[in-house]
Amino acid sequence: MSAATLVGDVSMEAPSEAVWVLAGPPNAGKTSLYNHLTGARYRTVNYPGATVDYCIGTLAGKPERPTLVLDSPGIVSLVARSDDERAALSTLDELGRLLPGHAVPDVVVVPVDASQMSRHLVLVRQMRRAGLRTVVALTMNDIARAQGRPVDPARLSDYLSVVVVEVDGRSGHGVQELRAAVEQVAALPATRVALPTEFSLEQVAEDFAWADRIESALSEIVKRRPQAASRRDFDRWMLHPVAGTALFLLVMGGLFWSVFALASPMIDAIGSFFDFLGGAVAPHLPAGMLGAFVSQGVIPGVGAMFSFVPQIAILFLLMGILEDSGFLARGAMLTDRFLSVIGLNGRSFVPLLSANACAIPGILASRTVPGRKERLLTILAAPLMNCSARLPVYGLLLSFLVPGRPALAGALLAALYLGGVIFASVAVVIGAKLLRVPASDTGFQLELPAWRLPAWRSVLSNAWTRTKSYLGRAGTVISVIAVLFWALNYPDPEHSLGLSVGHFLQPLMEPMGGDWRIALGLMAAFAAREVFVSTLAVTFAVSGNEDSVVQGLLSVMHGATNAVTGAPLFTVASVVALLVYFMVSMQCLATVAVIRKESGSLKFALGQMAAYVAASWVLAVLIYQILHALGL
Amino acid sequence: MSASPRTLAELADMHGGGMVRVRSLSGRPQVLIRLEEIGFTPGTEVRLAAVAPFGGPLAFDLRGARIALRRADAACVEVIP
Repeated sequence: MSAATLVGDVSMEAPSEAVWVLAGPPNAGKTSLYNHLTGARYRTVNYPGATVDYCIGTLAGKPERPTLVLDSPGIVSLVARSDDERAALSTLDELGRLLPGHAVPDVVVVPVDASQMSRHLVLVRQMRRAGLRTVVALTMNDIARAQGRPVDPARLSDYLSVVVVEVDGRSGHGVQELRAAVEQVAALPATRVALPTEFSLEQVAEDFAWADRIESALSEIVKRRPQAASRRDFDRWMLHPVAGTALFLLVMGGLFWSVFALASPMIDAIGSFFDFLGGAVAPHLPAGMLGAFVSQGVIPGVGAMFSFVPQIAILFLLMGILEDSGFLARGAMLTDRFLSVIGLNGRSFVPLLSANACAIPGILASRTVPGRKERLLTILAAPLMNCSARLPVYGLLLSFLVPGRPALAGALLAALYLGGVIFASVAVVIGAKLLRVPASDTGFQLELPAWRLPAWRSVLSNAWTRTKSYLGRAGTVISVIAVLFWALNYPDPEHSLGLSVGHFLQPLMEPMGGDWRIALGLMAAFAAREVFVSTLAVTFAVSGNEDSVVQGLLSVMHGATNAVTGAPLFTVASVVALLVYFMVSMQCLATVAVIRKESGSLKFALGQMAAYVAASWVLAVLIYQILHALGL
Repeated sequence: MSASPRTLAELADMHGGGMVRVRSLSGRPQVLIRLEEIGFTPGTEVRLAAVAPFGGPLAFDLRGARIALRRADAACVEVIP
């Protein structure tokens, strides 16, 4: 039985299955524990009202009672300081919102890293105090052993009055014993669960003093050995002023290069496949609107959605490797200084990096940014990172602008990336002044996990799960909007609602050197930016597969004249204006929908879109007028 | 050594890899509680591990973990040698 059917069932009747929640500090081995318990088969679910990923799976093997295992974002304390922590904690006392019929988890399994025990024991104590049935999975004891201070699980269990089982996250050794122990604890009578709302400094200090006493009691019997080589030694290079900066830039450059170099053949293949599919299916469809709807609306719409998949999947995969190895945490530390100048946070680094594939996963990742204001500012910046949907447009316009000069085109592309970052900084600075949200002032504190080789299996399965969930969330919206714009252009651009819309908007295009055809392309780009290219192809009646479309379009563009002035439509001035328009404008309705959900404010989402569209238009007009006056 | 005012220092002013001890915390309440929750409680032994370039955050070793703190946050932690 899949987890999906189980979740569906519980809303109907009293829960027949048990729920174990894995909750605990980040980097304590939660995910590898989860993979061992579920056999690494899971799906992600959304907590109602907040887009936070939970991994949910069924306990592997044949347990006596069917059991769901839930993994949630890492927590440091039972009082949340960021949106993802808030959602993680809600699985402990409001589980019913996620799994109807369950009030609290049957058992909370807390991983405790033996090599940094005191920090993690404090959380165990808080959970016991809150009334949660808790089992401790003692992880990383091999590292503690190498440091000459292994932890005896039986003695730790005596001190905590909590069952403690030693588990090796890599080999899975001890997982069977952990399962048996959890099942026993699950049979104990339930107590009332009440999470704390705030801690006093005295309370936290007292909890740590308690944890320190346990730690020293457990390590006093062990002879101190000289410190083993630290798994954090690489930080000497990674955080070195010169070597670290160079390494960071090298890895970032390599990341972008790989995303584009590896993805572009796949994107071409996907494009050709959907073109082929549209062509192959068309003769078998009934003539008229329905046939056109399928072959020109649905198939290209779904194709548009799939064409983003390679870059997204590769970026998720590479980011998973960087995250698992410990690089991203260092990246956040190295960028905090620069991000803090404009009111962002080092924790905005990962969301903004993701936004270079697509703004949507970037905006979703912003939930790890503590403080509402900093999170909203991160959301403001994300759509200005150059997402992959802009690349086909840049490709076409740069080929027109500097034909046969790939090095210059590459430099101009880099300039567009930089321009996006600069404009994002300006937007964040202005946004920080306009937003009527109190300054978060949460500072920057981040645990730097030990360097390690990525756990390939979990990195691969995470990339797969995140890509799937992206397809589900963004893909549907992109497809639907692409189909809607097909309808706008039906039956053909010369006789359609789109034509009227284009003519209606033509006056706005004139100051930036465009006419109704550009207006139509920019309207269509609201479905997904790269639709601009195919819309131009349709408007200029160029057909063929992707490569020949661009070639055909380029030659038509050279001859096209402006419908208003009769002068050439595509000049250096008008093309540069278009490039800048695409760099700044927020043309993706799917992004607006996600921003509305994540910010919880329609006003914020629409305000951001309006501001970016208006700013891009003003910039494009300015640039066109200046370049035009210079005779370009 | 007595904890006379002369030997007091802020964590943000640390140089080199010597071990210091947290004496007290002072500053913005929401930062203080998080600093304590990640382990900067009075009496904790702390060592400066790395310094990010261009005046960026500092990385400290404490309680078996390595934690990066913005300088302004590290300034909330008063330490004694």
